[in-house]
Amino acid sequence: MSSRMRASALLLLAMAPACEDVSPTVVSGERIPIRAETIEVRLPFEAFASELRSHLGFGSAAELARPIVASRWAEELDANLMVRFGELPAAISVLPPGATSGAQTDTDFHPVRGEVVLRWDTTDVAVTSSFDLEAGAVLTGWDPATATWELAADTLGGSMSWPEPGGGPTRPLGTFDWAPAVTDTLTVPLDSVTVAEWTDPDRPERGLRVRTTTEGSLLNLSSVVFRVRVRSSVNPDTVVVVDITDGTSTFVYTPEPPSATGAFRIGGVPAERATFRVELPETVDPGPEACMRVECPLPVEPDGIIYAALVLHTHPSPSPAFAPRSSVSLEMRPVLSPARLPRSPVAQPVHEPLEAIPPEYFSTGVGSVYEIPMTGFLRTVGAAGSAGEDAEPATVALLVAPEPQGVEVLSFHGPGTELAPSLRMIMNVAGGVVLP
Amino acid sequence: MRGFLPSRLRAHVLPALFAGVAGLVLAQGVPSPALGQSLLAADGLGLPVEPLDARARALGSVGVGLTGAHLLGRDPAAGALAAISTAAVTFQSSSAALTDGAATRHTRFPAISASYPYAGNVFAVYLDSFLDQEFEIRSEEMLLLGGRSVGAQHRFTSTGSIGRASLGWSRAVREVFAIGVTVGTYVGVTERRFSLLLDTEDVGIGVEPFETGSRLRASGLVAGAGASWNPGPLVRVSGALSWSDALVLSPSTDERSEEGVYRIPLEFRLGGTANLLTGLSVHAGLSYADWTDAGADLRAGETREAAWSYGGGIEWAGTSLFGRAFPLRFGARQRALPFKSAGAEASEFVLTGGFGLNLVDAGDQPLARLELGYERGQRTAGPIQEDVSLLAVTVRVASG
Repeated sequence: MSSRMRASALLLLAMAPACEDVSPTVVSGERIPIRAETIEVRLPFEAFASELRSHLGFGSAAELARPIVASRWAEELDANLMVRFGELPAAISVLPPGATSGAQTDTDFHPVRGEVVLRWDTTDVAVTSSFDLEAGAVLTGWDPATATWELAADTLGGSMSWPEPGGGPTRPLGTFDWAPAVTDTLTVPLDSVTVAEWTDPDRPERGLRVRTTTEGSLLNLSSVVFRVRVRSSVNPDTVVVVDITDGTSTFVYTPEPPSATGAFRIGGVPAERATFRVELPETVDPGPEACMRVECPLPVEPDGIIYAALVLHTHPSPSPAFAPRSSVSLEMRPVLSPARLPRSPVAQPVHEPLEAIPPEYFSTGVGSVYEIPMTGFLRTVGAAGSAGEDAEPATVALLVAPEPQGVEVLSFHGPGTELAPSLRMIMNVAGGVVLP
Repeated sequence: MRGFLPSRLRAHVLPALFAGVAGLVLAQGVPSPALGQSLLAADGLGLPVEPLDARARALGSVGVGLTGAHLLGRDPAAGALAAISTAAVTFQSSSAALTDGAATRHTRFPAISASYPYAGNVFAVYLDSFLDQEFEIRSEEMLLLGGRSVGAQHRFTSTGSIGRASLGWSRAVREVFAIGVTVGTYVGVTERRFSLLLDTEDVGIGVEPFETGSRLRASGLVAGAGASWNPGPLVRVSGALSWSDALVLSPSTDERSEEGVYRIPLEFRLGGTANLLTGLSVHAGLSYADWTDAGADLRAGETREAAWSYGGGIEWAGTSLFGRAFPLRFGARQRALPFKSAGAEASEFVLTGGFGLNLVDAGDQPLARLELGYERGQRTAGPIQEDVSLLAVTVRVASG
């Protein structure tokens, strides 16, 4: 290419502006060539839902991160901590006598004594003074996953009651006066017999029970460690400390949370869920004011639903002992196989993570309003209904998240009551895009 | 192409031409199908787009009556002068400063034309734009829903354009007289969408946007006829008319949308060029169309009855650059836009200028040319006043 031609090309290049497409924009509602009406509709529960049912038994106290101990909490709740520890390791490493390196594997070690170190949550104690705590070794075979206040085990193989409700009787390991203002830790010393029992996986009764005798108290356990001191066969003069942190912590409690008349419950442990069927009506009555602007009855077009939410009114907790003590998150999830309820799997929530419900919503007085958005789900339900007359109504479940979360139970006004659940729906009504 | 072109052209000119075009395309962005550079595109059927090349724009032309061998879709007889096969592409990039100070920019779909002479006839194909329909309308308002005030954003967007694809035939009947006709169809798709979004802070999370829209496909026959006459060696006069069957906008995605049928008026164009001195020529032209019937077919808005456009300019071909002819052009054009904006008649006035670079000519036949045209002016319609500018670059190559 000659220099003259290059110069020509560069000249033209320099004259050409670098462009990025930007549309001309008019800011004027009057110029929009389409008429759209936005209307809010409230549907009573019976108009969009049916078959509200409760299902109990999801999860167990053994799944909770923070088991509790309580005595006459809110003059009602008793709860005992039950712990089954994991097994000792198969081998430990020990230096031979006189050696400073070259640790040897020792599989023939023997427990000599031990202790349980319990760490409590001192930021969430129900009283500020001290607690009287009792520790004991469980004497009855029990199942951590299914144990309740009355039953030591409730498995497919059958149920077995405690000789004494609440995990008893036990062999006393000591009583303690624990003050949260002083320490967050309680150490329970164990003799060699107890250590041997608890490290024997063939003993079904092995386990620790902790209860409090301080009435009106409630404690949350943060962590528990079974610290075993073992004597090595490689170096008999050496005692090795082995921490067993795995195991299962649970609690048994009484009484069962009471129900309120006209209300349905969610939560507790094992958790309770509420399920109901959802079916969009073909038309709705948006009220006389809206009917002046749109055709009535108003056909429900799934694409026209721009917001939909289940409106719940919280019900005061029938028992203060089971009232939420902190904010609780709710979720609405589609039930994947309604015919298999209550054991049907559920899908992902129909909404983004919601703001947790504060505990004061369940204090005495008029219930508070809590909305669970379900726009996308309702659009899908409506679209499925439009596609075929035989479309199966969708079923959703209301549950706490995570589930279970604690003994706290959430109560809501049920159908047939003045503050029954309802559907808040914002719809947009517009024809197709008009021609020029 | 290699077998037909002179070695000099292959060795020097085509690489330079390629480099220049590539640079321009890169500088302007890849040509996008998006069109539109005016708020007035929101009125009626959109903003009419003159199917002009860079030379015609630089001369303030309405598209007929230019001298020399060239191809313009609205001047069917112009192709008769092309004695060898010709292809031309015109890139156009426009921008506007709107009344509210906002700026818009767009690169138009290139206008493309090609011709092939055979046995005294010249056959041609044209693809160019007709109506810009790209715009966006927004509004924000507070709705009263369930006793609460809720913020709402409304948005209406129109994208795409309507173009014309035509086949042409032209022939020099005598040495001084030529005729030509074109026949074709409207092409293109425009998409019109409306959306509404409520403020999540007022309603809550879980608000979904409401959207509805339709794609409109353009169809309808178009035809044109024209003649050019050289009454003397220094003068050329051309006339052309464009006829259109109804422009039909058919919804392709929304069954609820009806079909739009619009009568497009017969359009007359007349123009001519006179050589005043050696290398100096003057050009002028006008066009006329009565849009009354189209206005009656509109769902909203109205048209002016008679839409006149006129313009002209001068061309000085006595200069050279790097040993190549380097004609300079200046002009002006006044255009009455057919669709009123909020009841106000709309018009456009631009001053024009530009140049050409005749890279290779063979006698009176251009083999490789680069043309640049620039327009700057205003569009007005009642309170709307837009400062507009447009850059057009035409690349033309021919081979025998």
